[in-house]
Amino acid sequence: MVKRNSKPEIWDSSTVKSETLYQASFSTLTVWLKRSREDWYLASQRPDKETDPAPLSEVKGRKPRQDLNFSRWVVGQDVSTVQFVPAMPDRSIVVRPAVPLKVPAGKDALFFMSIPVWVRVMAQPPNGIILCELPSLILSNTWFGEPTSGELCYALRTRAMRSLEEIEKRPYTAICPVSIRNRAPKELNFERLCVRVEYLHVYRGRQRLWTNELEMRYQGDEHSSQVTIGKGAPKFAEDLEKVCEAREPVEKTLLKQSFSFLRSLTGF
Amino acid sequence: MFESIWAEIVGFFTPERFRTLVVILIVIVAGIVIIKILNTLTSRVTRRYLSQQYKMLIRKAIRYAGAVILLFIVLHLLGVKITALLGAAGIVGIAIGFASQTSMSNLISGLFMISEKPFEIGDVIKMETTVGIVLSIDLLSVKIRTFDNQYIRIPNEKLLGSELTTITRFPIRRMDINLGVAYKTDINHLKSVLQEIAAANPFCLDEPEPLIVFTKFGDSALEFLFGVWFYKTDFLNLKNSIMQEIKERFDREGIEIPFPHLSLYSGSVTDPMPIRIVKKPRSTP
Repeated sequence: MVKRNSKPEIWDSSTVKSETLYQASFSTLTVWLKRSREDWYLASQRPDKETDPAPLSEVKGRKPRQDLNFSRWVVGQDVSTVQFVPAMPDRSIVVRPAVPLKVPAGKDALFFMSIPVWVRVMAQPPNGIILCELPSLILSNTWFGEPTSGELCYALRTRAMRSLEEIEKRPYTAICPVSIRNRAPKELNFERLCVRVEYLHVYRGRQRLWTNELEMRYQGDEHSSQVTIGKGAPKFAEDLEKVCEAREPVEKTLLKQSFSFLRSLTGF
Repeated sequence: MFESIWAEIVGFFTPERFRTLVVILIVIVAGIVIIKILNTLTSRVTRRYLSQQYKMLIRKAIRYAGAVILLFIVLHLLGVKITALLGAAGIVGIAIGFASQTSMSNLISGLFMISEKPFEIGDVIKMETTVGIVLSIDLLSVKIRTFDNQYIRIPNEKLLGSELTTITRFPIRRMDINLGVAYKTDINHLKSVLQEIAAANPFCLDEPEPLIVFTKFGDSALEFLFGVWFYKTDFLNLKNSIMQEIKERFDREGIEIPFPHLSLYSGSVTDPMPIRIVKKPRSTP
């Protein structure tokens, strides 16, 4: 069992009293929760600016704001605990470095990417009932592949940090370590990378959320890039606890054409 | 009167005829059941491999072929000579063929269209001014449902001979927005504003990148084409959001969208234009 501070954290479970309004903040997402005798009411809101993260707490002496659109779930009387679970987004993410990266032939490089998680709202006991999933940050859509056949993904710009200290500690992001191994005889022009987040678990550490490690082995344009998902928790942090299973069963190796050098995508 | 009719009916149903009628009834019921079973089996087998359009075609082929076979069996049981009937059917067929040239043309067009497969059930198509979702593709016509919920039947011959657009053929599309801005506008600033609007809208695809083209020097505005890519199901979401975002952002940035002014004069058209005299501000020494 992982030791944590006595202070409740945003991803800890909380008991919810009846007829009481609660609020939790994930910096870019605020969740409002109210429980009646048998039903739960849930609303979310996106502040204009990032706020300080705050675990679920009672909103005393305040009525719910008029502009909140509550959804109602019929869960029964015995359900009294709520837990927010960090989950990976429901579609693959196309990551583009803010500054184009080049990896020379035969070289390896390790990057850390911050992926905004989805907040899965679960009511317990007896078994976790998934009430809804809310993206902590709404990512823009993007297309990976040819305009006639491809895949709808989310777009994410990354600074592709090389050391952990450079990455801001945000409650709504999970760090994905990506090792790129260039085994081609020429340099790798890393313009964009499709990360299949549906195959990644989410781990909770003392300070950050993590995903499995990814290893990309590039063997040239004419060969498929080999994508390997690391088994178990990443080795960059200690005492990691798996908090969310991957959406899809993790395959040992994914032979996917993850790198894209097709400039034609930007054409019309 | 009634007694004589009743006596004739009773006389008609001899044991032999009654047995034939029972056999026919059994054949019809069994035939219908077999056709239904065949249809269900085919649907299950082809569920994964064939498109909805082909499945529907196979179902109809089984139904009609089954009905024809059933009819021949019943006629045979009734003692009708099939060979003579087929001969007569040939002559009748020629006569019907001459009389139904349009239908035959539609039928052949339908066969061509099914083999060409320009669209599938569920696609959004546009023909001339009609836009709608394809409900069914039949041998004679295509049925579509318009967005205001009207049912339209388009003959296949017309579809084959006209320019047809399958709007949802490809997964992504580009929405072209024509913009006119005042001549005083800083073009570089305008381009960066448009790029920011596209980047901030989640329905607008990051890639392919939005297209910004300075199209022409208009009569009263600089004209631009702003093309943003979107996933085919996000059309309304994008249209509603991005138009509002352009207007709001332009207002904030002070980018003017010129529009034609209309002056109304009451009375004679030859009246002079009204002039307001303003004092020239004193210049500072």
